[in-house]
Amino acid sequence: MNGKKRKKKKMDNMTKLLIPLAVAINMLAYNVLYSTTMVILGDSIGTILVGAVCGPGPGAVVGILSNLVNVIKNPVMIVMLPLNVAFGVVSGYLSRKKIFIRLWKAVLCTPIYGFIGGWLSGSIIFLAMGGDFWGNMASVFVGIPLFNAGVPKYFAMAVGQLLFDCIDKAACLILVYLIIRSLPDRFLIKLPYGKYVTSKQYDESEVEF
Amino acid sequence: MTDREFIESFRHYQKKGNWWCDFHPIAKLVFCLAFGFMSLIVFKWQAGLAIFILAGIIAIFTPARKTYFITLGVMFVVGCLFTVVVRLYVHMGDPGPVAFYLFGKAVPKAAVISCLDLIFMIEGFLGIFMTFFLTTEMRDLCYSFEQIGMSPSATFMVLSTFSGIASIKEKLNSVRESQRARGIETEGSLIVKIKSVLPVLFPVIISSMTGVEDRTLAMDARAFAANGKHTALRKVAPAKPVEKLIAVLALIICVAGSIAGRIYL
Repeated sequence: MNGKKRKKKKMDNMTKLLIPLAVAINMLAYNVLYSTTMVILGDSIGTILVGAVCGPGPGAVVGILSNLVNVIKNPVMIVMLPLNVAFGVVSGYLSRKKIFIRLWKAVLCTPIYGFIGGWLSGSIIFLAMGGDFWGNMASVFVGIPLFNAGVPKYFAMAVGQLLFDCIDKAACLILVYLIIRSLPDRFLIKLPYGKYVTSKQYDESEVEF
Repeated sequence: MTDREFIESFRHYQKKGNWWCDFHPIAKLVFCLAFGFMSLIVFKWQAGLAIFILAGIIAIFTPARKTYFITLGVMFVVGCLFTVVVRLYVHMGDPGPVAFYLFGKAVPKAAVISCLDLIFMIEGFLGIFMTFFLTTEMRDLCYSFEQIGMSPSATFMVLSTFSGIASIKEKLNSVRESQRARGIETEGSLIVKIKSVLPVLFPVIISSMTGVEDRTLAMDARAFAANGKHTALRKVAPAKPVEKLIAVLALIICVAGSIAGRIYL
């Protein structure tokens, strides 16, 4: 009983330390990936990672904190808060289905993340910015050409956002999968959702915390 | 500052000698949130401009005025101009009263007003929040939240997020240098840069994550999770009645202004 209590406490502390680290990973990945590729944002890698290894709650907290940090640089980003939270929550639930054990399973989940990060973010921008196009690459390269071809403005913008975001999220999911695979099993099994991201079988009583 | 002065500074409430910087952090946050969201909700250039001017006046009287206007200018170019160009392009040739002609096509007045609404919504929202973030230390804000009942774990997470970003950037630079010493090219053409992303990014992330285990032990050794009231080195003065009044007034103005703005503007 006492051992169980001690185990829970320490796991919580690890999660508490992983949350700020995941926010920093989001910032770092954005700076490195976006400045190099101009298509892959990578600013949700940390959120998806913590959602996958610690669960939906910590994932949501990473989303909130990441947005808080972004808000300092660009306060308009506050409208994107629900999306960052959704990435963390969805990752936690998908992790329970053991999707981060196989690469193909992780990549197949791209449309789910793409819908949240693309379609829903596009809808929020559309509503928050007065029902018009926003000056980003998705609008310029896909949204406006579709609109000029006769597609209604909302759908043109949403499809553009969805396409660009699916590319970003596919890359993020691959990177998250590779990061999880690079982490030692003895580290993963100490995390709340570690058992869902490693295929190694272990007896909980054997784990030293 | 002598050692004695440094020690003595922690025996009193933290003061910076500027009325806005010394404003209670939570009252200041409520004030800025109220006006920021009013700009977003009303979404008309008149409301945005009024809030932008208010933020500018506040910023002029703070030590952060230079950073404020530079950041605002950069955000205007990055965040607004591109969107304005896109919007004007989309609306070129639309029916309605003409504001001016661009490349031989009519730009309607409605498109110009829509752009003004967007610019001043962003600048108003951005301006009022910049006055908050540039003049408030995050540790003071977290301390104030802790005083009104926020859990120390939550404030720890917020504060270590900000310190973590700085330390992970330092780690990135040292890993980049190390990889360069091992012969991995990190500068050059686009292809070279893309190739160098993973060898630089992965060691930083993996080593930071595995380092968490040691930090957990250190936290336990210092009884972080122990029950009891946490003590603080820096202390912030409690909110004065006038500061509370200003925060409440800002909330009332936000609600009344948002309703009036949506109806009459």
